[in-house]
Amino acid sequence: MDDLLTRFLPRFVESARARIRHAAELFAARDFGKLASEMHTLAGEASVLGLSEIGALARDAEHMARNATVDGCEEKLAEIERSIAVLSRSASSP
Amino acid sequence: MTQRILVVDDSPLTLEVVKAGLEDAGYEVACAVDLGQLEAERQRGRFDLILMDVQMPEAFGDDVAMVLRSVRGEETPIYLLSTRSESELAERAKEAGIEGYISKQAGIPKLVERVRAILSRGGNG
Repeated sequence: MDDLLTRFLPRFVESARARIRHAAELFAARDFGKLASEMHTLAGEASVLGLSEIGALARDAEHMARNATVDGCEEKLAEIERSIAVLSRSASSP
Repeated sequence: MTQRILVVDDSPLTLEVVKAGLEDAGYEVACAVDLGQLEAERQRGRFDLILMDVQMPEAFGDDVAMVLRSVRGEETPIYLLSTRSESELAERAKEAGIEGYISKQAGIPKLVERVRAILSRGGNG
């Protein structure tokens, strides 16, 4: 794991989990504008840390929100949440 | 003399990561999380490069850049910094009348590489 990722990973995981929780609430309220914005920010934070898989998933969710696509959006958020969990476990394992 | 870069982004985490990456590469970096801070930093001193996020709560970064360049006469090279598609960023940068864009999608090493190239060519790289 490179230096920047090591330095910022705990903060990223904490922030990303909060964003996904907020995104689920926004989806339930069908607030697609704010949901797109939340996913856009998550995509940027993941991308600068080189977490390209999470960045791509967040961009997918952003595009779905921009198009107000209901089908598959919750599954996409769940997929991001699982990826964050895997990342968190890999970071904490010796 | 150390080259100075101003990074504008509404995500504090993104700002910190970009700042750390650029500082590790030897640049002096100031950050602005909103338009008020951007203006304060511009008044505090001159920069060699401005990196501007596109999607911010108060305004689109390319609109802000266009005002800086065409209304306020900002001569510092300005590049958009975003995860949006390269074709969209190219179009936005062109319409704003600024030097170009850098994609966030490739991560910090590529961003630093691009900044080095830009600054070695006087901001037009």
